[in-house]
Amino acid sequence: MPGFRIEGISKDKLDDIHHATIEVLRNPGIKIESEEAAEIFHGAGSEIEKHNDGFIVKIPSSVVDDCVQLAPKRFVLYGRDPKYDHTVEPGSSCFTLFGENIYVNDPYTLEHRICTKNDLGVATRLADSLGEFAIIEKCLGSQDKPSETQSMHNYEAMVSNSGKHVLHGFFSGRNSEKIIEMAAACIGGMENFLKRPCVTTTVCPTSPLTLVKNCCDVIITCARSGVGICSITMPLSGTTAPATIAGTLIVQNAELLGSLVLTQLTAKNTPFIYGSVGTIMDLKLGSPAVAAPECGVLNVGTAKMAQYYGIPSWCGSGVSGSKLMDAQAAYEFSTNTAIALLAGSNVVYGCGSIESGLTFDFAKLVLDAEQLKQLQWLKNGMDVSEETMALETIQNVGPGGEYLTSTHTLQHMRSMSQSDLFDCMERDAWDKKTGGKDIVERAYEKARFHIENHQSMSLPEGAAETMKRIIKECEMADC
Amino acid sequence: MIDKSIIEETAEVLIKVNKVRAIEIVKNFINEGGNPLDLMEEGFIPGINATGDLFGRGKLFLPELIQAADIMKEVTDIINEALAGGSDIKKERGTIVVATVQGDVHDIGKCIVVSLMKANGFTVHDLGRDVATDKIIESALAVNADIIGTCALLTTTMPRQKDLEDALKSEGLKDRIKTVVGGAPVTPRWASRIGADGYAKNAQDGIVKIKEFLGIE
Repeated sequence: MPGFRIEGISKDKLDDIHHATIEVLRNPGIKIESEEAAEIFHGAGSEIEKHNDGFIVKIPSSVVDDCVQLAPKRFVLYGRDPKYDHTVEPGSSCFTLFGENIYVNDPYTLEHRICTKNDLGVATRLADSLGEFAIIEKCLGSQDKPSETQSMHNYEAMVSNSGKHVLHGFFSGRNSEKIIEMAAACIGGMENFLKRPCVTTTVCPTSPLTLVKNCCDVIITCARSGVGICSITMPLSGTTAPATIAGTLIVQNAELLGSLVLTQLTAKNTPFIYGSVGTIMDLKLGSPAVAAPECGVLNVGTAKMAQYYGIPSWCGSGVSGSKLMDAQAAYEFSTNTAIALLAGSNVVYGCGSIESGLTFDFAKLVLDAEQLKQLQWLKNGMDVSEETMALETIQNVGPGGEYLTSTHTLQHMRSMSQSDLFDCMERDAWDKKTGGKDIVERAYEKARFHIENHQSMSLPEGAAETMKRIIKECEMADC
Repeated sequence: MIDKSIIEETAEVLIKVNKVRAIEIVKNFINEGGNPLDLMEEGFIPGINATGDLFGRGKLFLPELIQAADIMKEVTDIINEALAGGSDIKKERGTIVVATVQGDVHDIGKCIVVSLMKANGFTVHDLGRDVATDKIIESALAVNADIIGTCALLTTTMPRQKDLEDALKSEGLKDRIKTVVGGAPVTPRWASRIGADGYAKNAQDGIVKIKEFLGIE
């Protein structure tokens, strides 16, 4: 079944974007703030020149073409538990949580407060329990832990509460090595980890046209260790990118191709995901308009450029600017998530977040998951076949009959869309079942039930101790 | 007294970002024997304040504000030149050093703050992003700054704002230089915990705090 799709941009316009990007990579080039990375580019035939605290790298189109060819079209995001293995390939899609929240609405008291490592564990357990999330992405930071080792604490909190593949920013070269050691301990040792890498790192180019040192270090360390790279850029139209979407698409494409080239030059065939969480800057407020329609249009551009190159895409779409889990949050999530999904984005990101990506809300995650069920159904589209056209059944039932008792209905009713929290009951039944509570309140109840009752996959023996030891050693070294 | 129509036009050229006309107004005024300081005080300063106010009320776009600040700079330079050794009007409003702290490469918010400060007539030294604490202090001393503003977008880099406070304290500079902290994850509670003098929730709020510190109405 082909499903519904947004085409959005014609092949010749995608060619135009690509050729303009190649021009940008030649002139002015991109800035690389790592000597090792600059050497890698230079060794493959890119022109480099020293520039303030880094290097300007000019990448020839032949290098870009070769590296695009080297990036795999299809790969598996392995879970610790093989039942959670998720294959990323053309046509596949999955959803993840928003990654950088620093506050949480407490699931019990609803107090808006700074989030902790414990919150990340609890939120991960909830996401682990929701079938709509094939993989786990860090949804909030362990704000109670030291900045230098925070990414390690984040990983520990997540892997201890989910058997799914983890997408997570490793932060630095040193932390990448350590998180890989931790992940290996959680999947039965390094040999097994290399066969089934159960974690992918996220890295962020800095718009415009810069790969900072930590970004380069993480790419190099992870690619050498067989860990996939999800490169996510965040151009803001009108400030760190041109005020037009096409111009923004070119800037982000140059940044993403730059990080793709570095990934493939470091280690051929390393899984690479082409990601953007770009949008416009509201030039009256001076703050990012995370859920603007331009974000949706840019997401289509992101997905289409990735398809043009034959590599998987990741689109940031579901975040809301609202401070509450309210009507604004629901509208904003639904519109841009639907568009990213229909454009064929392989990973659709942003669930559970409000306040422009500052606050994680448990009810939002539950309601987003509920809506994802509907959107996924929508994407699957209409199957037109002899079986679904049901001609024989229509003829058998005839005028004035009913389909309720037909065999055809019995065969197909379970594939009809269903919802759990979204309601279409008649009023008395609704009142009896919900006590007239608002859906957000019921979503918190569901979240609390899962937090208290869901059993996530336990860690192998000794893994928890190994992770604690690794973190402790780093913290001693940092002191 | 300056002709009312000139005063109105100075505000208009800033709001409409007409640089060519702004320079013409200043040059004509000086050529006709007017005191350029009067033009600054009665025309351009109220004009740029009105521009900042319109931005604050969502009536102007940020790029317009930045261009208005750029016009102010040009106009100020012309007037300073005409005064030839007279009082330097820029110094009157205070000097601010601004940086994104070490380890943090996000600076678009800081650039907005800098633009708004310039639009408000402050002398601003923007040290850029990923700036070490000792460099911030060194620069602040070099330009005799009244205020240091720092921002951090990442929670992992916020501790650098505390480092700055600690360093200012240990070097006995806290009384001499005020500090304002900002950035998406930064809160008033954080500011008071680390001992910063002020917290700015956004660019406009930053201007309010700075004016308070400098005793400007």
